[in-house]
Amino acid sequence: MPANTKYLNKSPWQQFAKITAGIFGGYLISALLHMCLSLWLPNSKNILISSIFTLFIVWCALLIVPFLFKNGWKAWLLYLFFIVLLYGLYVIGNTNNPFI
Amino acid sequence: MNNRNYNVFFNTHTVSGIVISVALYIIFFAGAFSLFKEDIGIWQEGQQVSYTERNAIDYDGIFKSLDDKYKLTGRDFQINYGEESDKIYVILEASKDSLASDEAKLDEYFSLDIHSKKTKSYAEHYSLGEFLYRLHFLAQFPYIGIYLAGFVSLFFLFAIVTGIIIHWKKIIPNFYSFNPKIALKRVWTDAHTALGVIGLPFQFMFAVTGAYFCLSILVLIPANFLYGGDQDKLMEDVRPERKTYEWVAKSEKEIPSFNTFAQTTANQWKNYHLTRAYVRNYGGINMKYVLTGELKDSERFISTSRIILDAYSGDLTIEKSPTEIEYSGDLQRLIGRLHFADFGGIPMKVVYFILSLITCFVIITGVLIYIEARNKKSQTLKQRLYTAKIGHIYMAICLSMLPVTALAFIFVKLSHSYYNDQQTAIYTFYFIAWLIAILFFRFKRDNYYTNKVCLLFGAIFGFLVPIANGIISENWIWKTYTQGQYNILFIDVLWIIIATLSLLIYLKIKPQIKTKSAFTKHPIDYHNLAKETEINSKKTTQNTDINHIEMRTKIIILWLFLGIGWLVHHIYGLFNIYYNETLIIEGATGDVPIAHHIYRILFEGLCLLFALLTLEVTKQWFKSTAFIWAIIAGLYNVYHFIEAIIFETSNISEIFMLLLVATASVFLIKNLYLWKKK
Repeated sequence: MPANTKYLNKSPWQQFAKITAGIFGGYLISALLHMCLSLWLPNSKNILISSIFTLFIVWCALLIVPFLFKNGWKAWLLYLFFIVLLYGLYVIGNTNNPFI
Repeated sequence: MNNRNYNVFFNTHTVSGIVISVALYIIFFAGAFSLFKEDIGIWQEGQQVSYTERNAIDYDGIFKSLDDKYKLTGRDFQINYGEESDKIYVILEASKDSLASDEAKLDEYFSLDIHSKKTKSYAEHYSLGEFLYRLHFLAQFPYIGIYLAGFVSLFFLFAIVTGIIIHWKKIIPNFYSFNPKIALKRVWTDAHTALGVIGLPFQFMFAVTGAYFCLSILVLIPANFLYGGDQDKLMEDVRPERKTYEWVAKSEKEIPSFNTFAQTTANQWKNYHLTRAYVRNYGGINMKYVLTGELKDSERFISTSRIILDAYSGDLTIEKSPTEIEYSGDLQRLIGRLHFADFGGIPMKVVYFILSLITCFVIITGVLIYIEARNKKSQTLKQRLYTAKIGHIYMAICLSMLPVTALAFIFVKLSHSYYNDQQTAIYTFYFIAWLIAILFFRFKRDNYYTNKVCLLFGAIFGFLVPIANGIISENWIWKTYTQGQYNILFIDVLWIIIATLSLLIYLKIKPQIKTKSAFTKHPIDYHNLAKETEINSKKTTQNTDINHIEMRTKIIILWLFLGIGWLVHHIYGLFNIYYNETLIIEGATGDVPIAHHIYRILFEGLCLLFALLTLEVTKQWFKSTAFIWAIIAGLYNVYHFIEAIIFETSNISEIFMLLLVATASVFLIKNLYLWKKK
């Protein structure tokens, strides 16, 4: 009954890429996303406080996504793209409309 | 969903589940009991409890007695109420007054009886309830335990979501086909999915709230960026009730009454009760009293309130009344209420308790499915031994928690008032008993036996819990019932129910069930293991690998490398002298301190000694000694490398040498381990 191994990628580097993309990339995206939402949307403090649980739910979803990829490094590439994008949005938001 | 994704998710579900399973079981099992943390404390104490309304407490008297003992002037402090008893928990912070004595500059934490005003330190009032509560976020691991528990929560969330993905199509049919009577026949697979689905909302809630409690630092980091690093401002928004005020000066006037403040506050609303009290700048001209409270939860589910009194001017501010909603504070309260079953009284806690134990069952069945599915003829003996070993260790750790916890209840009762330091006593007893049980079952290598014995002893010890309570504290069930000591009664009844159920399950599990296990169909013959592995190893030793280095040669070279590495490191350490430092160390007398000789013998001499001895000695004791020393030296090498990175960043050659030495240590430990095993 274990998962059929012919579908699984056994390469430790691939596993490493997927897991790290999920944990580190996933956290960064999730954190940046919440920072951007609090900066760009009204009721910023309420959004920020909601992140005490939504952050973990989004992070969990982002832990799963890399496993959909055959090549884990591509998942990293995609995550890096989003990290850079969200970071840019955060910097713009923070200079134009600082949180406090 | 296509086949690939299904199998990939299946695998992630299995792997994440297996990795977290033991920690998660401990968290849920200990967590189930810590729902009744306070009742366990009262039960252990064994004395009749009385309950005084929080507004009727004589705060002024308590403050006065604390002032005599701890010198309150200039301190901030906080009072947490026990929920059921007349005990309060006081957190004193260091005095901010620059004229305060050294004694007043210490933080203090203790419990206090509101009638006798006697205080007990944390270690003295430590109860088994507190122990289990702390165990449920792995706090007994110093520093990292709570983060570990947080990541277990996060991966639990991951396992839940991947579990839903792979079982999605079966969720509805499984839900209807779940029949506890039939379930016993097809226990593991069916129970795992069916109970997993039934407990789903509960488990999802715990995974999310658990991550919040343990990993809140990961939420605070991004928030800190938004606040531009202004942590005080951030904390003020997140926890407004804990706001502190700058110390200005001592007031000469008498301390205004807290009693009147508590009474007027509590009488403002119907069905309102106080939850916490804070005093800011005690004895200062800007002293503030803060009270938080709530309406009864049947009245209003979320109703935290915050009332501040400027003690000397008498200005009263209702920052938040219990009848209004404030998203940020109330959301946190909501998460707390959900996580700790802090609503609906005992019945809700019982529901939580049952759901927690169901979750434990889902975890156990998951592990059993894992090891069962991997004990097949198609797998090599080594693989099968590996999964079997995982199964034995996991089952030993998880299942022995029931008898050990029951035994710990008896222990705290029997040893009550014998040990002053309850904390150490409980730690020592619980962990030693648990370790013995784990080792015994692990080497017995029979999950059926582990289960049976744990249930039987769980039942026996469980029945002994109320008896021990009766003999030692004379709190027999009928007595506590007639006297209305329901906290004490509840724990006894809880154990009688647990023991009865354990006994029933124990009787219900028949040896026939064991015959259905894959381990009966494809048994692993542990007695002839040596012979079988020999056959296996013969196959592998016949290889003619041109890159092969003999084990001992390898170990000798590694020891030499370490020894030489240390010598070179010492020389590189002198490098600075050639360029900028003076030759003689400050305070040098011309004699080399003896400690320095010992240090060099330990690190250079011993490496060379082991290299030399490995040429001649192959005894098992020598291998073990070498292995242990290699681990100690390895830990030191890694530590030294990290230390050098932090403190001696400029000395690159030395850092590089230390990196090589640390790497060699890792190789050495690995090879010595293999050598020792052969």
